[in-house]
Amino acid sequence: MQRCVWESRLVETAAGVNGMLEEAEMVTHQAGVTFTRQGVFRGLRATAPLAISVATYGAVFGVLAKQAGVSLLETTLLNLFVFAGAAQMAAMDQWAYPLPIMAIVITTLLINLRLIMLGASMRPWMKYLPAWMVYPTLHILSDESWAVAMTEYRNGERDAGLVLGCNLAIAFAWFPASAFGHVLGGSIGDPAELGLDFAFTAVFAAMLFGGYRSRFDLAPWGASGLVAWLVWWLVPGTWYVIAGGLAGFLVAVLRTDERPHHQIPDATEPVS
Amino acid sequence: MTVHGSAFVTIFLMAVVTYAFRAGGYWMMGRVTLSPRMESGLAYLPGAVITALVVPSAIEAGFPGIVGLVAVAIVMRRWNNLFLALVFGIGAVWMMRQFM
Repeated sequence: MQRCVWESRLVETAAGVNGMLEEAEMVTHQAGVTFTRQGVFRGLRATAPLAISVATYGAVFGVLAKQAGVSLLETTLLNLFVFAGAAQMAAMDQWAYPLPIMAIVITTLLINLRLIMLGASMRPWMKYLPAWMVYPTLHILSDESWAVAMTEYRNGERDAGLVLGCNLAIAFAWFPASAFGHVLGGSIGDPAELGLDFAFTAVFAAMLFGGYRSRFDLAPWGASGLVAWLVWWLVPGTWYVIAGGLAGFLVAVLRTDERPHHQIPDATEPVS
Repeated sequence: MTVHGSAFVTIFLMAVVTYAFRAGGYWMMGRVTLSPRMESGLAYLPGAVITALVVPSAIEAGFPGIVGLVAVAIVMRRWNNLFLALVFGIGAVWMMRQFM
């Protein structure tokens, strides 16, 4: 029987986020997964390059909010309680009084449906942590931090502190940047003129290319890209993310026999 | 520094929907028992989701977007550096738009 004792410590991060962070020691019998301060720092460091691009959209969001007549306090509430950049940008597009509440909420729903997939894919890693640590961390889960964390996971990382670090790095970039954009208001030109609208695509493409491991990636990725393109073309909203993700997942599951087992990242495998 | 009543309601509903998805996917996976086959398939899910995010947004950016993708691919292969890839990708798109 495999016995692996892991201790877990939630500590204050350098930036001093108190409140949800307190000391915690944990012992469990699950292999490999830990939660350490070093993990949090590794997450912050690994996500730092993306924080720059997130700060860019954050500033763009702030500008859009100001132009839509959303107050700084309302912008802050959106950031604190929604914290989903794409959905917030889409809401700014529709923000005119009287507010089309249902339309904004349905758009949010469609754009954020993809978050189901992100959360689901973190289960094998995070399930060893107690719920009181996982659920607050999930609130600040973003596409970028998730992608960095999962790339590290594929490379053998099992420290769940990294997930918190990645999430915090994105939050720290987004908050000041959107406030800055709001204060700057209309004095920023069109971000597309500088190619900044491509930042989102560039970041995800870079993570995809960087995460390529073997030809076994090609079939699920190809299926996902093809289905995502078709659904994006035919169906409004972000259903294409769900459809593509599911297509890739199905291909990966259905051809299990031919895949060498050592290539499968698995939280139950101890990491040396 | 004001919050309109309807803005507050909208933000609240957006927050509920968004958190339900963030937490819901994770929660749901704990309610079902996964076979090893399913669990190993899940390992390919992140790559598939990223592909699904990238492909339509690159197509939407048109020809400059495709050039930007190629730039990103080259940088990642050469230097495996996210920030450089971002700079070159955005730079390539910006340059292409100057010519088009």
